[in-house]
Amino acid sequence: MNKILLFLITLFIGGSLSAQNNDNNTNNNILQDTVKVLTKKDKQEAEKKYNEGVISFQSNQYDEAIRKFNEALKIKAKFPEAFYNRASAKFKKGDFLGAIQDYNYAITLKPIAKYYLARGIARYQYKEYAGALSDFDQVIKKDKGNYAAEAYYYKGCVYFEKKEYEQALQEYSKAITIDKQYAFAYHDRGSTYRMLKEYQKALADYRKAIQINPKMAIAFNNMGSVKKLLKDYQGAIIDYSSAINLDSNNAIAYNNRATVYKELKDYDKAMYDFSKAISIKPSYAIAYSNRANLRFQNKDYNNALKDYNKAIELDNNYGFAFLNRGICKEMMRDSKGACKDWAKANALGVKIAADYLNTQCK
Amino acid sequence: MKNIIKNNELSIIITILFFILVNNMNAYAQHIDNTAQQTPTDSIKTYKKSKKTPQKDSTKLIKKLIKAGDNIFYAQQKNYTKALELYLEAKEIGAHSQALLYKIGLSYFHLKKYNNSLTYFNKLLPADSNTNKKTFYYLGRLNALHYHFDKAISDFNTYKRKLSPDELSIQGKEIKKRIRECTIAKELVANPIPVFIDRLNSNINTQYVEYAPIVSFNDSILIFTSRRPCSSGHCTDNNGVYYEDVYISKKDSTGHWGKAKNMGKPINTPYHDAGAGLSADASKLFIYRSDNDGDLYYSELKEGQWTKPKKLNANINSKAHESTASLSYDNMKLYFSSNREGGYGGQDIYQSDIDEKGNWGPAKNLMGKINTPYDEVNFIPTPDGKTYYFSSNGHNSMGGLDIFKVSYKDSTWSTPVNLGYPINTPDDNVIYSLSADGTRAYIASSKSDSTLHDIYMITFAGKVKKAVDNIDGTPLAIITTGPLLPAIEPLRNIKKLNLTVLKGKITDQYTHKPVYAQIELTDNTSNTIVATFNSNEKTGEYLVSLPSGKDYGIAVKAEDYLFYSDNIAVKKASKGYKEIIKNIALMKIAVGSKVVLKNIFFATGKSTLTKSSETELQNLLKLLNDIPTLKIEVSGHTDNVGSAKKNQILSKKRAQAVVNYLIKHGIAKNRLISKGYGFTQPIASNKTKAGRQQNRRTEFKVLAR
Repeated sequence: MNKILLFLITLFIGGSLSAQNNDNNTNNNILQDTVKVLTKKDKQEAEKKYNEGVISFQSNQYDEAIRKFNEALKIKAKFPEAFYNRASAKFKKGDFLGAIQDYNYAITLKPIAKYYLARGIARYQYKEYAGALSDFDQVIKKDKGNYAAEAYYYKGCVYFEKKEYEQALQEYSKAITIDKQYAFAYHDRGSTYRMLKEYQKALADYRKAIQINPKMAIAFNNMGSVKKLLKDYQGAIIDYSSAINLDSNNAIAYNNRATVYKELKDYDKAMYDFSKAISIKPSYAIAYSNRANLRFQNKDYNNALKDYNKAIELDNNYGFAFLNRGICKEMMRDSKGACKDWAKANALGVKIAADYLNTQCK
Repeated sequence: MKNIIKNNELSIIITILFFILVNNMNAYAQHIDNTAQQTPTDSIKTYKKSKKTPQKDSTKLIKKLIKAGDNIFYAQQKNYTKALELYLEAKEIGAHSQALLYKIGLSYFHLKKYNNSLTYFNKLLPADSNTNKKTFYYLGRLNALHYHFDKAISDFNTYKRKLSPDELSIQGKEIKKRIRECTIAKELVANPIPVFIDRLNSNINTQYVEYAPIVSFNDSILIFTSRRPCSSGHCTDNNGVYYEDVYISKKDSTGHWGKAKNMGKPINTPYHDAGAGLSADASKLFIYRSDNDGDLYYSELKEGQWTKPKKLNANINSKAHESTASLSYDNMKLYFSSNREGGYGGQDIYQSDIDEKGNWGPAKNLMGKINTPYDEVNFIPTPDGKTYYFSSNGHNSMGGLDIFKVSYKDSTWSTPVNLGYPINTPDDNVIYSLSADGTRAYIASSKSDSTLHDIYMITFAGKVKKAVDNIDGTPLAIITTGPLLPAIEPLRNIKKLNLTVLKGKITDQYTHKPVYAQIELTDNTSNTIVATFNSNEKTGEYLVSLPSGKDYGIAVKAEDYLFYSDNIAVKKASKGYKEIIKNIALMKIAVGSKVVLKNIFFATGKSTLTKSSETELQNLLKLLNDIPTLKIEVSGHTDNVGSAKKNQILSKKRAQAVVNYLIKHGIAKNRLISKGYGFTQPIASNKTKAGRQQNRRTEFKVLAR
């Protein structure tokens, strides 16, 4: 009974039933005509919807969160926090453009460093790099602390994406100057050095990142990959293994370690690792293509072809899988099929494929 | 004639026959044709028959066998097959000297039975200090042929260390070359080029040996050499093997090679005849015959008949050994190999141009870019007139003869390029012809040491291709986590809605029946009526929700009933919801009925009515106005704190204050009596605070109506 009453009261509080109407109502409904609501309509309705939105957001229910923020903003338009949070929910859903628009509103109402940082990140994700850089500069103007460090870090990421590696190095270094424990900044600077073929510096930065965060599997993985480039195969195996120890489902590290085992001609281990990577991540096109290469090398052409087909089925834009399958088909005496695959690989930007096409597929 | 080897990486073992280098044509029979049965010596036969031969006899026989073997082994005209048989017999009887094992290994080596040879040389190890140092040389050769290049290099180095300075000055150069070949081989084997190797069908390959395949440029005519039985029955040489003959096959309309036919007379003679080269259009055939240390002959297809082979002129054939021949695409140049004096050493490639009269002019050595101190043979032009293939065991050979590609541009030869593994192997590799598009070549090969050569087609799968492995990983850490947005804005502070529900039932005090009454709620702080509503007509129930944290006055009025009033303090609820149950029993208006006026308040210790009392006073006023005949007594009551007298006076004054209020608002004086009872009529215990509060009260009593 109490529950029903409370429910009704709650209804009335939110509804438009006025005390006066109720007074004059003498109809037969026992509850209705005896219930009198004196609690006034709540003035924090927008905040309440907003709070419900925050709770939904925190439980990763972004659609629900957006609905709640919508309701909050319908009640109260000048609510920057609601715009900001709705933007973040849209961001989480991958709607970067929607996020950017909401951040715009939030910033108009409240131009703070945090909001600029968020919009900069959304623009970075949306690959609107110029806008992102301008937002990060605003952050740096308004904040000298952690937001600034993050702004520098993301500037580094933007320049990295733009392949302006020298500039990226500078930004990452500024981030590190502000936050000396910024593992991500060290890590990404390491990757930048790697792009610049300064492998020793890359290794040093990866090491530093690991020193700060010994559980950073990605740093182990990338360190392994640099060591592989330097033909330090044993070192690479140790690093990839560390990444695997941190995360036994690290399909990438299994795949990479397998390529090193292959270099070391330890084909059984290579096969095991490729297969493990695939079992962890059945949609792992790269591991399929790599395992196919190993099978191809072992002259197990039929099974190699199956793996290549699977890789391509999983990723129809995987140029190297086409290149490799073409090579396999050639050895299976299917020169037409080979040429077709090389043409596709060439179209997908695999340079060497053009060479094969020109010399063999006229 | 040289023949070749194995490739332990491929499913078939390629052995390419190169048939012209060796001076003695019969050598082929000795080296390859293991179908030739040698008759064991009578002494062995005898020995085998008598099972219980004394030890002395066996020693004697061993000596005899070994001596017989040595006679052949060390003879000018060597016959390793025969020597090997004798040695093996000796071994079977019980001979096991290092020297014998060495000679068995070496015989196998010369017979190109490399597996057996390696087995025997390995038996010589671990070598004592007296081991024939040449063992290491052959181990080097054999390990290289078995693709054990590191072992081979080590063997050659061991051999080199064991050589005296004089020996080294003679053999040093060769050892250095062998080691270099192993190094090259390692590199080439590690990077195989893609080729397909297909055995030609049974129209070409038979139970007999086939080799030296030559194909027209359009790949439609195949000429090769084979040793097969002949119809006359007189077709074996001194060693009991069939003579070489030249065979021809044509591709049929379906692209398959037709049944090969013996080319017959005049190409084939009752003796050895071997194909040495073919013009692009397959109308001109060069034949090798072994006379004069090996000379080249020429035949032409005229009106469907091959002309009688004519020996090429003295510009081509010399006293020395001439072998492979080929024509340029325009038939104007003849390329052949010869080990004549004045060359670079070994077999060299020579070129002869056709003169105005149609004769082959003086031979010109192709010089140092092509020819080396070692052997160069099988020079093959291609249709583009620029690209040539040849075989050499000089240049960057990986061992034995390898096939090289070279181009001629601006009167200059490029540096020859090794075609790579598995076209080339550590043994001899020769091609006789290529298809015009350069994608196919033909070789002779055997699958193992003990099988005969057949003809295979090599299809070049184009350039070396390496399937690309992709390592994976994201360069930016942020990609693994997804971009880390600043935290969302936190929850807003919402003032708690402290909801209190006041509910109850209004009944008649005596009958307990529900009473339909009007309920009036007053906010005592602001002295304003916040709600007026009715109880349910049928049940007498009511319910009201109130904001908490306030004092409320409740007044209940119903017709014919005395009004009821009470004071309810709704404390601020700590929880969101609180319920107060207030059941009210109303008294009928009758003489003697008494009601406590709970919402009449006075200033502390005084008789001054506070503003909060207004609503209650108004209710009382209304009652008196509604029922004009009503007469009431208003009485004041106190708790027992203080003296009785003082309390009596205060209570009287307070009752009078109410009466004064009513008179002031138009009620006739005679309807009202005020009484002060002090603490003489308590309705609760004075011992408790709550009780005392209850006792401090104003009442009215109906005196008449």
